[in-house]
Amino acid sequence: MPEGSNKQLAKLDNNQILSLIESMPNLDEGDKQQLQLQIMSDNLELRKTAMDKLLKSQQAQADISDVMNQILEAPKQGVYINAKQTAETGSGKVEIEVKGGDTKFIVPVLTILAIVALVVLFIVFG
Amino acid sequence: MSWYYKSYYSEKDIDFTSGYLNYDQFLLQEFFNCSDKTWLQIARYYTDQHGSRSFGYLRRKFYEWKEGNYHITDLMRSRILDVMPRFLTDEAKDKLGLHEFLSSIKNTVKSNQLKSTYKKEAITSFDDFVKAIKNELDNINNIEIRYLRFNIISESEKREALNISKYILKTKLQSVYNHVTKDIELISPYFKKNNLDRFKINYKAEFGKYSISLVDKELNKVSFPSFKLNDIASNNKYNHYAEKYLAYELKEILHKRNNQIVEGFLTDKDINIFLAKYLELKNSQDCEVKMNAEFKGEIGILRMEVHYIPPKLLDLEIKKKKFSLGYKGLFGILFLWWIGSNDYWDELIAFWIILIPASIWYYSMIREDLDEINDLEKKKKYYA
Repeated sequence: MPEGSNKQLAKLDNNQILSLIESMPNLDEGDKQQLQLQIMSDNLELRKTAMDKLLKSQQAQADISDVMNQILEAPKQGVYINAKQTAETGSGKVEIEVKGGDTKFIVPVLTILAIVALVVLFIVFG
Repeated sequence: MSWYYKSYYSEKDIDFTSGYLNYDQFLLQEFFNCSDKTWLQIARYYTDQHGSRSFGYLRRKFYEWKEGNYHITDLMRSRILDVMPRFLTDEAKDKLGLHEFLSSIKNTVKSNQLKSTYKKEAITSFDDFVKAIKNELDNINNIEIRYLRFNIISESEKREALNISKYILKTKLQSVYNHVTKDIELISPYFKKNNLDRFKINYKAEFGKYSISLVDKELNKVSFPSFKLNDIASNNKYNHYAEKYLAYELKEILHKRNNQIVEGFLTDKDINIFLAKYLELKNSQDCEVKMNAEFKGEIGILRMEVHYIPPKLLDLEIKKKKFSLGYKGLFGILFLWWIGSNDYWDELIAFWIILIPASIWYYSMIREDLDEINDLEKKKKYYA
């Protein structure tokens, strides 16, 4: 697990409850042990959930990077791109919609279209 | 297997995990499991009240009813229930007392904890949030135990039950307070960034009857009130149960709190990914970017939205619109030229019913293009 995530998970506070249980004079050893076991088992479960979330987040990051690479490469390859990607992250979701790429050919295409349209109009009305 | 095991009214412990006690069942259980000494006392009292014939019947049927082989008659049942409270042993009274002690804690916590309501009280600033927390804290401090079913526990035990209830309620409130505070601390810098990058940001969270909604505003630094949970000491005959109950309750609260922390532990990282990708795309200046994101915090949800169009793409859009406008204008001019050169004016007037809506449609198309060009010019200035 990356260091940053470990730092975040350090917020998981079990010491407070563990020391409180330990300091309860009327709780018998059996109860204390059972509670400590449950706390540890809950903690393990939470860490597993955290790990799943982290993997999801990394996957989302990779997915978004793939789409971005395609987009950023588009102008070099001379293509125009219109892409939409939804990625589920560890804490939610990100939706990216990108339009762009090589726009050099658009103006010449429009000019040719304009000429063709003019010719058609002259034929129809001329 | 002994007959005792099969017995319908065999001695059972009260279920202390439940806030409810079936008192009639408890009395019948005490009756059918009473000691010889208590039985003699009951017999004397019962005979005085209902006569020796009725008692004889009760004595004959005792084991059949106890073992659950025969259904106890309603009349006999009501008589036993009427008699029994006078002959409860100290042990039985302790059980009732313990039930009352624990159920008063459970009921006080249940009826006073933050409850979700259909109609929410809106919180739109930090100050309102702090006020709401202070208000809830005051409410907890003013709680009193008003009703006890059996009134068996002493005044000091009542006070202890109340203190434990308040402790649990404050711990729960503190959890909510901590989660919202952590969320707000986390999102606060992004609200500031909003001024620079034109992000639309809103944060929503709900707790109890409150609904927090912070939208597109820079958050000022607020000093939150701090409340410390003093250790509570239990000192009565129910110590063992009270501590066990408290330990389990706190374990659950802490588990829920940790669960919420895990819910939001990647929010910061995910927001940073979102921002980094946005900036990368924005800096490339090659594409229009529209990004929406929804991130769960420890308790609330942060929504971010951003739309960026590079000026060069806007230029292209403006050119496309101008082309489109040009075609439409040229079509109109050529059409009129064609009408004029062929002298079709009479025919045109004859078809006025088509001509008028067509002219309106044509005008609105041109108007729309002009408006869009204006709009794009404004956007170009905005995104430049």
